[in-house]
Amino acid sequence: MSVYEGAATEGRAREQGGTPPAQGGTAMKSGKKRRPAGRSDAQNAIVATSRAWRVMISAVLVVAGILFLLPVVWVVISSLELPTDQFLVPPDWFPSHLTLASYRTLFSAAPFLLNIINSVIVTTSVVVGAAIVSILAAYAFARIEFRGREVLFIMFLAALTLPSQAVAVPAFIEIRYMHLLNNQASLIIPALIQVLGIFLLRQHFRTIPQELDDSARVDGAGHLRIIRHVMVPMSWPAISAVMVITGQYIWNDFFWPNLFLTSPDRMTAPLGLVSLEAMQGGGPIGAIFAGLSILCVPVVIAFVFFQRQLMEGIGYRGVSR
Amino acid sequence: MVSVETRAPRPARRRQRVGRSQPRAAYLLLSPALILYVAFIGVPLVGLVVVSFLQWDLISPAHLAGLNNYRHVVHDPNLGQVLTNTFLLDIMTTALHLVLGMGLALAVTTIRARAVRYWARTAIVTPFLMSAGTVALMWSYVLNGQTGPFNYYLAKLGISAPNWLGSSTWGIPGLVIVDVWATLGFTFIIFLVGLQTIPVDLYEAAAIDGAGGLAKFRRVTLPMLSPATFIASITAFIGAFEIFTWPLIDTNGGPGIATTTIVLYIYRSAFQNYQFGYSAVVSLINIGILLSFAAVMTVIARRWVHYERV
Repeated sequence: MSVYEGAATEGRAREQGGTPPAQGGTAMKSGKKRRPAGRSDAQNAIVATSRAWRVMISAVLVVAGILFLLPVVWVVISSLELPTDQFLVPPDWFPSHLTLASYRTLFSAAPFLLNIINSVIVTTSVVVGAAIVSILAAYAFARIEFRGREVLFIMFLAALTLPSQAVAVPAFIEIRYMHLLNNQASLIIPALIQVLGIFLLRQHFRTIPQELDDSARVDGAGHLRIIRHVMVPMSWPAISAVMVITGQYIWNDFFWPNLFLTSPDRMTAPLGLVSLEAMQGGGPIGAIFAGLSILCVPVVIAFVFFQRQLMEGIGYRGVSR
Repeated sequence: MVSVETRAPRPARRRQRVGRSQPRAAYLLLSPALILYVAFIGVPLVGLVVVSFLQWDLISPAHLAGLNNYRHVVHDPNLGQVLTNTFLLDIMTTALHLVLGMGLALAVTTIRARAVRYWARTAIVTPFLMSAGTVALMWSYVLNGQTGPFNYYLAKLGISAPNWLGSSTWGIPGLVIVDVWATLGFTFIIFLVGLQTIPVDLYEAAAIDGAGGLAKFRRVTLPMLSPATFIASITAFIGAFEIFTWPLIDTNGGPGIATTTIVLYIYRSAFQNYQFGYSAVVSLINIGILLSFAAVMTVIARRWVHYERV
């Protein structure tokens, strides 16, 4: 029915104290099948409603959705207008003359293409690197007994409550000592530790039947092979959810790039655009609109393609608090 | 190898073996995470405390300042205003998050038209997936007092709106609009997931007991939704307390310091006034407030949050 069913069932299993779905790795898919019959009755029952009410609520939601997206639509339309038509009051929602002039201005006025490439490099490095670090750590926490395991795990969890911006000052000083200021490594290396990812994957690894490790071990597999051939394939949905929310966070981050990067050609895309706006001081607004539109496109695409992972990731993030 | 083979036919012992302590392997696998944790969480935390006792502009050598920075904080005339701004902004956004997030999640759960559900979900969640920098830039144009479409359409509705981002009275509400638009999707999803974990039979039981729509909502939905409400209030409150990008780009913290939030204040003290020690003290206050909030919420949760063990 909807992407939420999987996340919802998953969330429920987690609330029950982690009684694992029989096949850990396919929990999300099987969630759909295990949906209790009569779900739509439940949805109906939450606020008992007549047909008339439902139609009215639908109408309100359609309008609310349009209003919510209107700022984005306005920016995209403005970016395609002639510079003279941008900022018309009232806005012209159906401009008769469309042009890509603003986009040309953008790419000639700023190293925006380079900024996008920077964003892609930083995001992919963090997503892949953090996934590897998280998988290794989560496996150690979930499957190996060692002294201090509980203490270490609680230490990691405690970091979840710490707002990262609160340590901006010492983090800046540290990065400066490492001579990484104005270097994209300053965004990648510290982001490789994603405590939430470690936590979520550890929870998920624990739902995978121990017998699978055991039989792999009998066949002579070491920890790394068990991770590669048992854990990762069995928990791919969870891993991909973690990767998508990490990627979303890194791609969109403004705080750390703003702190660490100073030269325009090193900047990530959102920061590049903001600094262009600051430099132009009300110059070619169209270029800014064009940049904003370009940055909105991946978001919409990401939502369409990764909807399930995003919802699960966000659902997870909520549940884990 | 040999030992493994001899153990193979005895599953009971095999399970024991797995549970056996293997600290070397564990620490090897944990080492990347541990090193990163120490370097980028541990060191900055300790560093924050150390820097708070220093007078340091990062250009000339640091001086030990003793408690000077802490004394300064007590007498700082701006800090009170900054904290008031932050709390005002925070309370308004958190309240709107809970009301709108729960209301929209209820509405989306109630209706049956799938296309409308998909549309509403997409529209509400998309802004949450946009970069803070992008959102802030976009809204600085949308909310513009002269040329922005927002005020134009409000005027059409007969509301003469203020110049949100340039006014010391309306600056905070202006930032509330931006923040709720940008982050409501998160709260919305938490409520949506929460609603779908409510077992159907509770409603059936309530219906048998003759409960009407409102009674069902009050006696079943609200209590069963309390874990989601709890999570949503914590994330919304903490998230809003750390608001930085909207005032930085949209209002520049002004007029004066009318819209300066605590994170922006920390940023300004350090990176514009080069008072890194002082900035560290304010950061510690920031962490302290959030930790106390989390503690209070945990106590509240014990009393009010209903955890159903299905």
